[in-house]
Amino acid sequence: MMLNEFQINEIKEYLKNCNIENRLILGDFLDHLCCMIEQNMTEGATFDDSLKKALYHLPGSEIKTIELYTLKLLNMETRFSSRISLPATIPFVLFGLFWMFSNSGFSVPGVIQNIMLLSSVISMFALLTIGWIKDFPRWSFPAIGFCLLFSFFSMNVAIPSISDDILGFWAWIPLIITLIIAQIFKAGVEPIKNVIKKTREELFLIVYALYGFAPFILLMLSDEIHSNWMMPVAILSTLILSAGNYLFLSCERRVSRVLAVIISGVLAVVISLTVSYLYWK
Amino acid sequence: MFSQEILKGTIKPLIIKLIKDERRMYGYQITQKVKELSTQKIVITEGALYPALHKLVDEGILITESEWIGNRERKYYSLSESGIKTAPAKLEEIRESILMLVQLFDLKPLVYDAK
Repeated sequence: MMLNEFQINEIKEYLKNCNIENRLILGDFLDHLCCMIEQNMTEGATFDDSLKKALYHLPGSEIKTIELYTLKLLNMETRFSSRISLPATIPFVLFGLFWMFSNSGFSVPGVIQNIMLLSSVISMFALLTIGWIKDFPRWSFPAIGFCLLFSFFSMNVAIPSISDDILGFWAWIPLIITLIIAQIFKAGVEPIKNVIKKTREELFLIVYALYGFAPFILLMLSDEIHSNWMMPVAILSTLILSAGNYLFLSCERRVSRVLAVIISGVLAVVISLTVSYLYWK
Repeated sequence: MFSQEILKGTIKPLIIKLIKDERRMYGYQITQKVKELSTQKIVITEGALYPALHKLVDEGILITESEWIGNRERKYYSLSESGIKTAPAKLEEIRESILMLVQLFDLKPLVYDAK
């Protein structure tokens, strides 16, 4: 006895309501539950009774546990503990600290400002190296976006103390050095294959990778602004961006994760744009 | 029924053996086949089966192909090219381990030493 479309959709809806997100796991368990139900129905039970019996033996909560365990086994985790999610926000906080002191009107020595900017950038490159070694868990995705966009952006930047010419392809040297260091710890291209695999599974990871460049965009938006106002603005925007990153890594539901990144990213940019507009006006 | 703890290390080789014999299988079919072959004494739980299947796919030992069965998609697992090459060695390894356990537990030789 084969289940009809309506009955299959009912089971599919149940699995989606149980927050089974991975399409491979969803497909496996949809067929598995259908087989269990069909076997019961062959023995004379109704669809409703068979469904109840199947879900008693294999409830949604158990399927969710299996999904989480399988994703962890495959290094494709979607949800992380605070022990991992919180440290992943450190680069965002470092950018926030630099932003706070460089634009707030306080007199901070140039050397200290340079050290703060460098440590923020280095933290992202370090995150990229750690991500490479660990086959790019999703907490390292912002580093991918940052390092690529930062290198691309820096191509058009000149460092007057070195030369008046723009950096051009020299801007890619930090990334190349990072990749060489990463290769020492883990040779091959397996981590890149993992990035492609994970991105195929969840396309929103591209947006999340770009999110890593958001702190730098905020810095650019408040370039040349020196006001005491910038202190609370920098703290608020940094907290919003860090919270977005933390929630993306720790939320159970995909929709919550997506909203966390979109809302926090847009909110932080809107705050910075408003302040910039008010300042120049 | 045997405890899952005892079966833990044998699930992957068991899956490889069954799929090698049947050419291709889907998840539910594997659970039923194991029940049938073990006269209900071994039950592979879904929590043990699917993570192992996905890991074997990730390791390149198994490949999947999807087929529409009525109104739903069914995923069949079969041995990949490299899986076909490595399967005999993996099965030999588990055979030797079982023979060693038989010896260690001082069990009477049954079918194990038939080869």
